[in-house]
Amino acid sequence: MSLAPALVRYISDNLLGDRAATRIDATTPLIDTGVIDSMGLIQIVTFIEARTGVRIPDDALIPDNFQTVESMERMVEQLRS
Amino acid sequence: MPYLLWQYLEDSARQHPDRPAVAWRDRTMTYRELSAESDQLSGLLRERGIGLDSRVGLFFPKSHRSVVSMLGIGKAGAAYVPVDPAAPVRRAAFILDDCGVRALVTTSDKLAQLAEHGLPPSIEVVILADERDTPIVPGVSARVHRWSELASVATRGPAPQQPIELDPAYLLYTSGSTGNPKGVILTHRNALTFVDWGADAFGVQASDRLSNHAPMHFDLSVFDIYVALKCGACVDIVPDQIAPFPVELARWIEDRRITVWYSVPSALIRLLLHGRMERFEYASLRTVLFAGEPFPVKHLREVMRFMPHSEFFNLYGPTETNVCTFTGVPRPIPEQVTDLSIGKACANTEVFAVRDDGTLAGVGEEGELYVRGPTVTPGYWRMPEKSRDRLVPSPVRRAFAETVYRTGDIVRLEADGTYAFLGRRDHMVKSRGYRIELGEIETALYQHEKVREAVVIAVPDDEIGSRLKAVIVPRDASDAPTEAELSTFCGGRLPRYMVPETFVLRADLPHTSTGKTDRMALTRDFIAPSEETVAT
Repeated sequence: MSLAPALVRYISDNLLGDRAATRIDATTPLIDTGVIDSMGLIQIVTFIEARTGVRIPDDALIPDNFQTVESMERMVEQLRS
Repeated sequence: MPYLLWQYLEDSARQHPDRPAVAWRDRTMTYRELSAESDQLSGLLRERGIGLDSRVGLFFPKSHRSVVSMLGIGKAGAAYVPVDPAAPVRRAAFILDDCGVRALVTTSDKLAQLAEHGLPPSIEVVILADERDTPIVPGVSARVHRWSELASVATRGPAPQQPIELDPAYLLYTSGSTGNPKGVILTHRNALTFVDWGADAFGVQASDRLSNHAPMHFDLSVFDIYVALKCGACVDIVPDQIAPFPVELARWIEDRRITVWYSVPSALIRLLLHGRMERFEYASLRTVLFAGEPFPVKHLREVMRFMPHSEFFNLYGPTETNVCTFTGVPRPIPEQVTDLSIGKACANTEVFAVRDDGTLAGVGEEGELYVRGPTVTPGYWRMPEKSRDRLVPSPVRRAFAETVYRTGDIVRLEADGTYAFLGRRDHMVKSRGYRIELGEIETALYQHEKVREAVVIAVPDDEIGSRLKAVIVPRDASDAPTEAELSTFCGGRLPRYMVPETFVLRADLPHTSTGKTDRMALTRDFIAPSEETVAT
């Protein structure tokens, strides 16, 4: 499974709280909706690092990179290259 | 002299109406504006008959409108109840129902979720605090107002009928060991005593800019908001869009020229470990306050190095007593110091430690910390038994009867009159500064049909205080719940900070000789074996 669907799955299972039944996809905004708070960010970073082996440096922890699953995937590709 | 919280605002608004009072993102409200808008909200509530002896809920992501709401509700004569905007709807609904709120300030999204779950029947009025006007949710019997309607409210200003200082100003719900959160009642006098002390102890001036990092349902916010309002200073609310991102938050403190910062230690540790603090000077930052959990000294030394112009203070006190002890942190922290003291009692507060045999602890002795003073809660909302359990006749004999609060915290009285924090008497733990009753998480897990037994343990952690692990015995080993299933299940019932990070399946649990689950044995099993190996 490539990163995007795995992330969507991970977020749905772990970060939606009682909105778990809500369908999210790679373009769903995650910051303004409160899905990514301090704890959510750590969980997502840990998941991405474990799954891709890419280390996410502190300077990459910015809202632009975590707005959506799509933007996280783009960030990982940039970090890889 | 103000004896109700909103009077701080009115005094400051008269003295310097054009100074900034509240900032949030690119929006700044002056004292005049804050006073006027809270007058309008108060008017709307008054027109609907909501005032004395009423509660009004706040259930929305924090912004300048959180502050407007608290003051407007106060001016109407009512008490406010801030609810964690990230809490699952069923928990929020429990809280709103438990204290019978008559009005609710929320967003259209949250109202829709509440309506789906079943809006608590006590709610007659809903006010939408969304930034922009949003469609009104159908199927809600309560009367729903948009924020923009406040401007056209005919009645304005504080209600003529006001409570006295012994009446509730707000209720803060904290984790409850029996499975539901419990409401701590804080009176105007409780808060005013704390705010007056804070303004004085840290010399807050009208020129100060106080951060508000803590959520509004967390008692740290009371300091940020009301000390600022009392002193004519500005409270700058950390936006939810910035708080999660350490590098952004580190820059925010510098850019917004914050002079007084107050947060849980874990927020500062996160800045230290991931915020690239070395890039900033923090020349404006003069005071850093922290509370909610012990600050590991090795991290605190580092944070202080990056904030060279600041005095640091450790504040201590459960929600039930506001802050009751504090201490300045020496700079540099002497090398031999491994744990930070919680210091001595604040002005107008008395603390003492009581040993197991009921006598006062002397120097070098351990005991449970008791608090007496005007900051102590009158009790829990509609929980007389729980209130009697914590608010007890003073064990110190006096010529008159009085009630004191027993904290459940074990401390040692030191030779210099300060107290050292040693731990808890019960199963309450702290994670990221949040109080968590392990029993509340276990109660939630027992509701899962595939769970036979559940124990939650807290593994000590340098960064966030403790990490939660759930140990689960499934009803049927061949149909055991998955980790994702349990995490989602807890996420639907508990706030995120109470959802265990890991779930471990076991065939059975260790028991003590008396038949109780042996938490100690389980905790030992989960203290990182790698660390122990390194140590040997």
